[in-house]
Amino acid sequence: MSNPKILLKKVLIIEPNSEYHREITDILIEDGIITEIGEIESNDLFETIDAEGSMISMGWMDMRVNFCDPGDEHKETLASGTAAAKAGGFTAVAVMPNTEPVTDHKSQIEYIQNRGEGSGVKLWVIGTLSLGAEGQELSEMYDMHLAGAKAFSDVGKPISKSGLLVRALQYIQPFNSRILVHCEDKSISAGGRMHEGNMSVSLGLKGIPPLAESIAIARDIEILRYTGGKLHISRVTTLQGVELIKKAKQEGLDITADVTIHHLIQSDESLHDFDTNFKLSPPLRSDEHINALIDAVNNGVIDCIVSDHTPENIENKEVEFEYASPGVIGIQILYSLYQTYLSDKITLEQFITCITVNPRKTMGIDIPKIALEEKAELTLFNPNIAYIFDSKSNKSLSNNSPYIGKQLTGKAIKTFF
Amino acid sequence: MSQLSQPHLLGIKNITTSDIRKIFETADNFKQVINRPIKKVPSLRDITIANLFFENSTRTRISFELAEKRLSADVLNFSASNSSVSKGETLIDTVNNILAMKVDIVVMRHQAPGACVFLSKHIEAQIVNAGDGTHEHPTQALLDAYSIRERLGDVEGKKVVIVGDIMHSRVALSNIYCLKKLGAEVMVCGPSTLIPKFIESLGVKIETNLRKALEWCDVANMLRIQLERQDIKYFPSLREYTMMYGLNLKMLENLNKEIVIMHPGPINRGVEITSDIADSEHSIILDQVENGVAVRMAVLYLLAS
Repeated sequence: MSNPKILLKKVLIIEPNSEYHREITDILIEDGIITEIGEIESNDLFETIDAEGSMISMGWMDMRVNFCDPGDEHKETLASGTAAAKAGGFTAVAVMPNTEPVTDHKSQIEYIQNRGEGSGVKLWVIGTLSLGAEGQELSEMYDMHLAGAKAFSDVGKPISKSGLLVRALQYIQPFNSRILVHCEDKSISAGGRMHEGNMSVSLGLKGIPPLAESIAIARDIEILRYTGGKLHISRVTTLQGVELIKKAKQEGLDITADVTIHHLIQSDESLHDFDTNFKLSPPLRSDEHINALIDAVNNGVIDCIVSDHTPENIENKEVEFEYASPGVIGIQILYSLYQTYLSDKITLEQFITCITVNPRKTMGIDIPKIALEEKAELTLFNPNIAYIFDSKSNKSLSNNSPYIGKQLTGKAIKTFF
Repeated sequence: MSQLSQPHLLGIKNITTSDIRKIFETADNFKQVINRPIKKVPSLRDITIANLFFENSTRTRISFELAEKRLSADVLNFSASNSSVSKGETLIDTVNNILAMKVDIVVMRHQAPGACVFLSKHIEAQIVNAGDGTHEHPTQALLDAYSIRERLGDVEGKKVVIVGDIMHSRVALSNIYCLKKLGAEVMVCGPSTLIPKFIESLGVKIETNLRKALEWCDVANMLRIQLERQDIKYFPSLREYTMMYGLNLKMLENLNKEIVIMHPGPINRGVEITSDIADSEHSIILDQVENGVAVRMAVLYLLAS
């Protein structure tokens, strides 16, 4: 164990709703509690960290990660996944229930939560909405809620039976949970391999039109209007989807949304030579959609930015595009990707809000504060550190990332939790 | 090692117009060769070529094999039905095992779009794409354009309509790239459900009425309807497809001009075109087959030397 008394010298505080926002000051943490903020003299009793040029915010939270444990431990374990999250500056993540077997009972919720204990990262577990994520019968969401689950989702499977979503949104209201949905009309996207556009035509690949997403979002909003309750649209990728969510929010429905960092940066052009690291579900879209997603983050229509960290072993990626599994890892470099590619398009304040306050509000979780006598749940990061992300520094067990070997700018330095 | 701008022939999209012209000029010479009493030249002696067909093919495979033999290459044939692919071996492993036996050029047909691009990033040999899923079929496009050039003198300025299932057709995509590079005007015609929504970005016209398309064009390339490549039904029945997009002699006679009819084969007689057209003087279908050997000889020769 390191020294329980830590002094951060000359750190810039990023906490948009706090009196300390954009202040450069010193912070003293004793036994995990913030005991002093202001000018503090160094002292032999403290471990002093010279944080000049670095920034600190409340601990980051990624609302959508796949840690593959139990079931696919050769791709990721809860230990390696949390290590990657910690290295990426995250003190909390929401773990998706697409494990094997799927997380649809309280014992599995407890297994995942327990594995997170002492890792420095709080694992919030999402349970499945339907039993076995099969889209037929409701799972025991109340029991899972009592065990600690804050939200429910069938992950990448769209809920094709409208009635099931109606019942789920009604059923969870007494215990104030939220339903996360993947919006895709499979009868439209069937056979599609990428975004439908000029690039799909030029590659001879069948496209997935934005309609496949927007028609499903429209239906789910219709259902929410009828049922009430809390709905979260996960991984929005289209400008039509953004428009629908914006209107639903204006109407006062309790709807939230997230976008992956990858959909904010990469377009369908990345697939020009069939690189399977860019094969994602939902697919990477074109520039007009990317611009709409960035606007939606800036004006608060999209609440959260997620990594959708999806480890895949090389055998599922180094194959013909058609046969490759979709997904990309990213939790460890989420902030670096923002700083390298998006910092001129999304303000730091907005970005930090999307990975701190908003995911916790969405999930109904207590929000930490940078204030005296508060528990120190903090992330220290530096926007100027340039480094090469490689398979050695990658803490994930999987290397399915187009950024391996690339120089990135901005890095999480340390978390306090 | 390659007289073309690329070490491989993965598609028409990434080769240059001068590559195409060079292939045609070389094919002119080889066409003379294969019409001589002694049809063989020693150009590719000591070159070993593996024909890897992971998807069924008769005429493309035979055409390549003949082209290779006419060039005196050593030829190795491999098809998926009797291979280790069914035992779960990956494509890279399968091909590397064959390359370990000292193979210089791989001619590959595969059902996955982009399979040849993928392979080119992972193996040492030169690759010729003999059709990869719905992506490209470059030698078919080259022989089609070569046959138009032979019949009409030039491709530039000619109006070519491609009729049929545009969405699932690698022949259509490669033809569009090739014809556009050579300065032809291209139109696609077929059921709206089988025309990709953004196809105009390739610089082609769209027409859903076959009669209007025929009135516009100099050449009609009638694609084979490949129901096996359609995951769901895009039109109700073959009968209705033929009612709307089948070509018969009466339609040609009602035009006040001569047009050239092409088909990449094998023909579903009575579906895309009727027998009387397939066998008429409008059709250059058998010329396409003959030219296929000369064009493939040219491609292999230019890549290997």
